[in-house]
Amino acid sequence: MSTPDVINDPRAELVLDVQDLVVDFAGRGSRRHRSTVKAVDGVSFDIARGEILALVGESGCGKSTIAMSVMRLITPTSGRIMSGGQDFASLRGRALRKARRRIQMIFQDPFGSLDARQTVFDTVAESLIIHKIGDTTEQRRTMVLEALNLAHLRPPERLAANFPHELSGGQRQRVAIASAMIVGPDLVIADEPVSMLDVSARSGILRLMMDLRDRLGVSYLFITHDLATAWVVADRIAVVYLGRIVETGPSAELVARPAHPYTRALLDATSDETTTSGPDTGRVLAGEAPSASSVPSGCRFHPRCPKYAELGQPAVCHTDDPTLQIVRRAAPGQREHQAACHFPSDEEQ
Amino acid sequence: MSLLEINDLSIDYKLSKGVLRAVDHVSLCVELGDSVGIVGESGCGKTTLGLAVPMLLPENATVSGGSIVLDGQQIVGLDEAEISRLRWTSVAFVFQGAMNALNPVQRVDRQILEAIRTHEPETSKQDAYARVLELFNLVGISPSRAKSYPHEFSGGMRQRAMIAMSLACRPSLLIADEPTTALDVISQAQILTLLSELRHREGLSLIMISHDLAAIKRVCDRIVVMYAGVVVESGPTEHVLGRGGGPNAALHPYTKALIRAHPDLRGERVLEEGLQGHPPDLSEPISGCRFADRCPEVMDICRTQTPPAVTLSPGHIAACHLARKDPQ
Amino acid sequence: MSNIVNVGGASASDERPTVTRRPGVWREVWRDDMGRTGLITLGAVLFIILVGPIIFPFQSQSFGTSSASILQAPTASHWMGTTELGQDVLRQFLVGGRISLYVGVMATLIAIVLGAGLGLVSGYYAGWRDTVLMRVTDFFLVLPTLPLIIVLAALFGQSILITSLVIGLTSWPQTARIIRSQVLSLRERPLVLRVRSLGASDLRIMGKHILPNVAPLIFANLVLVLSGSILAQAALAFLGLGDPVQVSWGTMLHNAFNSGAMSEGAWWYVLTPGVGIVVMVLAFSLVGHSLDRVLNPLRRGGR
Repeated sequence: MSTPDVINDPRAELVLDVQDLVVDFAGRGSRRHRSTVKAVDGVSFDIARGEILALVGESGCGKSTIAMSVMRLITPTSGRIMSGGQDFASLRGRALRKARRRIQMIFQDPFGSLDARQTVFDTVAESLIIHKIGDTTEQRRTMVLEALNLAHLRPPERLAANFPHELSGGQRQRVAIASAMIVGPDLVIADEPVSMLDVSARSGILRLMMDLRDRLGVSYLFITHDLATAWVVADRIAVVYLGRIVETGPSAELVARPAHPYTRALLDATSDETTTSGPDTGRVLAGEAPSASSVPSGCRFHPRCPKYAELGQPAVCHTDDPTLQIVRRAAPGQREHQAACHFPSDEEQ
Repeated sequence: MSLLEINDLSIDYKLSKGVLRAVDHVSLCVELGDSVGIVGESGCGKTTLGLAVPMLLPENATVSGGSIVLDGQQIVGLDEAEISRLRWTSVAFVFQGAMNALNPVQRVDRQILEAIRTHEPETSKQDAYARVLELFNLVGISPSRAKSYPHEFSGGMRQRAMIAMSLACRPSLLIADEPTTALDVISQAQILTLLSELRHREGLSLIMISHDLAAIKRVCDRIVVMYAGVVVESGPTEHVLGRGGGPNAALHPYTKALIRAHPDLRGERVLEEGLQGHPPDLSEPISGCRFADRCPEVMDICRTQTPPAVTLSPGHIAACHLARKDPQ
Repeated sequence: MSNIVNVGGASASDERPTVTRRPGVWREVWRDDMGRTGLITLGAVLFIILVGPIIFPFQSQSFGTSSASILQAPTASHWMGTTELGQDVLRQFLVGGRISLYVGVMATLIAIVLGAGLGLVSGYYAGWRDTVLMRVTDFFLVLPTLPLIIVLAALFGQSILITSLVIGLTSWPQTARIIRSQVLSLRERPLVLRVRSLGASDLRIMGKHILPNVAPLIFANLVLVLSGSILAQAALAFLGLGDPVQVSWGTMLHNAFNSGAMSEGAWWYVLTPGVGIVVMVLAFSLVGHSLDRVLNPLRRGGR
């Protein structure tokens, strides 16, 4: 289950190249005083063939909006979504529907993803019908059974006849995966694919995803709020805060040496501290994330940033909006570690 | 005398297709000042067990055996009037998703005020309001936000408000069912810190029901692992979830599977093996160990004989045939 | 405080496959007291009006022969008495039932096709198409039935076709709103998002995934609209706006009043069609409400 060498080559083929993605929503209020909710405020990232990139952040940070925009389930306000030589963001109608074969999506709710009235077979076969893959019924049947087998739904013939309510949560998610994989996509966007499953069932699905990456070379954009899972599954992590990527880098590197204070805060909150011996020390970030309709000036994290307080509230943090800068030279064969911070940290976690 | 003593408790649900035993001969003890975590996945019975203590079970549930003794008083068999006197004053329950149970058209401080005056009607309005502010302080909500409506609070703050409400009548025991699910990672950490503080500063005894081992590790001294209606392992958190070997480590393969499923940021960056299959149907009779079908270490005896509870070390019990293999 | 626990693993994070299937909808309606009463009544009514005229055919040509046979109280030869023209009330009643039902069904078909179709399109596309279609709906919502039918009847004559058309045109907005609201929520479900992201066309999604899922709701609504249409038809006919040739129950009431049946004490002439209308409308209404209760997605939560 190692990362294929090709993705460490910076010149490797990109299956997705998102440039300056912006998604605005009209906020509340009358026409004149309507606030714009900048759900995604200028996000750029790319994914190489066979690579798994995780977007990590809390709810409302915009990671799901990014996913939905890339999928063109939401129309982005501006920006380019390059894939297979086309700008996905500007495609319409039939051209868009054809291009959709390249990028597929798996959703958080396994039961909600499936049509309760369709059998597993029909659900997976529908993908073929939509894209007119397979010339005969026999051919399609073989392909469907093969896809079910690949998704570890065995024996495929028996499970193909089941309805969603007859399956467990993990099995339903596998059906969704099979229906996505059968069209041979370059990229699969997985939006919290395991958070609604029982804990013990999660690793099965994650393993399947990674297995399919190894076998088929499919890339993943993995959306999650769980940094620990992202660390184990993804090659690279991008941390999202209030519509921006604040830090990005190889998973092991980012977790071992987080440069942005927000990443540090997430790590502290996720870590396994046993605090039963006494009250917790104040390492937990205070306050709540501000709403996307009133983004703080300068660095959007500064009101909650422990470092900002520590350094005596330096002016640059509330006047200048930091951009992603390289924090550490890339190790050979790895992508750079970047952070959007005026005072990125250099220490080991 | 323990604060709470659950002995051999069994709870059945009456369904259209038959009877489902959600909790099967479970025993549990909570001393004053303890914090106990009950962990398990969907269908294990942990919520049913938690709801039984304040007798908040749904209509089709019955206690079919065993006893619950709270503060020296037998709970099973009490009529509604008697148990409602104990609820919120001796034992409080914070429901799963409670933060969405706040009345959206009433100010938060008013809601807590109402709760206080319902259960302690002799309290004057001033005293009651003073207590409301005291509670806000206790849970870390600034008094300037007291007059807000629930939708003006974030998820984390609403959860704090619910905790405040549950503590309004100074109960000795708080049962929290999945208090951090549906919250952000940072808010989760804040709530867990709060619960931890409440224990140490206010001497509150706590039962936390969760599927999240990391949360339990942060807050609870003791852990009880449930699977398909029975307790499979219980003991000090340090032992069961710790890294030590021998009698001071998790024994039951289900516990071990749960631990493996939570990646440790300090450990190796590797995706562990999960569990195949799913829990058994509790409306059907079960022979032998309930976990046998999914157990990576299953033996022949597991399918025929129900494993007895074995003491591995003081306070650490496991119901597994593997326990008897190890010489203790 | 009860019914908060998810038993039998019916929660979203369920790992155990839920083996129990929802029992047939009609079985549930039968189990519901209201539904059962409605179904039995409906069965009886339909039987009577469909089979009745075969056993007791109505001879529109036979009029009363003497003044004694006009508005006669029930006798052995005329079980429900006679009309002001000496015709057998019972036989006219049996045939009239079919007319009432026919108009009801026609009107309902128009209402449902328009309403469900518009609701589906409006709810699925949302955006400006929804706004425009909803304004159109509002227009028809406030259209007054009575003046409309008077105008149309004056222009095109009174017939069951006109009556059906008018009732249909004024009933569809209600259906449209209900269906639209359900479709609006369905389109946000991961299922629709997934199939959209697969590249399915809008037509395919609406026809294959959304329509079958709102079909039960459409059907429940259909039954209620049917009961309302029958009542509306009866009211219009009573006011004299119905088809004078094809005598429905409403028309019978109209004739009864016009011929002074009440003052004559000819209770059989008024009661027979009156009770008929009430019972038929009630039967459809009971079944419709029971179906709605059974199929209402809001109720799915509890278990």
